[in-house]
Amino acid sequence: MNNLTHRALSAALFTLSLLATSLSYAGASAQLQALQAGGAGPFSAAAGEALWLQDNNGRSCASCHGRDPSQPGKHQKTGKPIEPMTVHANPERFTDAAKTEKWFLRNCRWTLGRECSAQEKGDVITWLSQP
Amino acid sequence: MSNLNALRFATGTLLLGSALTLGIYGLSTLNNQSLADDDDDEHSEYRPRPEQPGTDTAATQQYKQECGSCHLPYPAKLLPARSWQAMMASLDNHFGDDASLSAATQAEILAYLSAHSAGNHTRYLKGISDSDTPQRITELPYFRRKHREVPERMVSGNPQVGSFSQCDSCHKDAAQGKFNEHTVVIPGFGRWDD
Repeated sequence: MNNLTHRALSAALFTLSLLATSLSYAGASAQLQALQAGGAGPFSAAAGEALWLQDNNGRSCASCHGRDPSQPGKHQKTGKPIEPMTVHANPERFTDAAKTEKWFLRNCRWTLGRECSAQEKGDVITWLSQP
Repeated sequence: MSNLNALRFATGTLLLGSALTLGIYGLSTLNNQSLADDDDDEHSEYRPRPEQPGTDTAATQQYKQECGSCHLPYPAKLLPARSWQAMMASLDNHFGDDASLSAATQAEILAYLSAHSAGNHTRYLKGISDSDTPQRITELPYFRRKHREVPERMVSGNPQVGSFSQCDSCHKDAAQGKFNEHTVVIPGFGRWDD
């Protein structure tokens, strides 16, 4: 009986953790779908990674976020720590569409000198939300 | 008859309201006076209102969240309203960074900053003329005077600090709005007590 309770609890916990995981990826999926609805896609994680590492006159996404986005980054100028960017390492990522848009706007303009296209945003989100 | 009652009620409310407002105004002025000592001991530097964490107003929270995501949310009272106005109007080039906000958020934060900005003739603006629009807190004569005894090598020349803009590298309670000298620990050098 005890054993049974234990198994039931474990199963419940497992289901809950699965649910939590899928919920944290749901934000990224929704944002990708919105970009697709606007005509972009299909998206490529490899293209996202390439954009991440692309050097633009000494600036890249990696300058502040680091080459490995599952690790914390550090603002190049202010030194402020930046939480990891992958959904796997930081489930809070891509759960707030307005926040995602705000940072794409700022950071693309600062790093690339222009706004990112929907395709580029989709590629990067795809790369950062790999399981 | 009911008109008369309404009039009485309105007068009563008005009187009570004025009395309360006056009282609150009196208290706040008293408070300001006690904080406005202009000596060098820094015992009553910038104190955020309210002091308890978790009781920030929505506007304070928004300011801390939006501006604090890249740097310490600097105390609004260190710059005059005209400076904050200029800064918030040029967020696309914010000291070399793009810190653009939506028009609505930008207006809300400017309202917060203006409401808490340095009033004319406060010590923070000593040496600043009314036509100046300072943008860098670190260039205020007030700031320089407060830090004149701190050697460059401990800050700009210290890789663990980097620049005077990074208050919280040394002012350990800066996030709580406390810049008291006794809370200063310079990375690599230790406590600062002169």
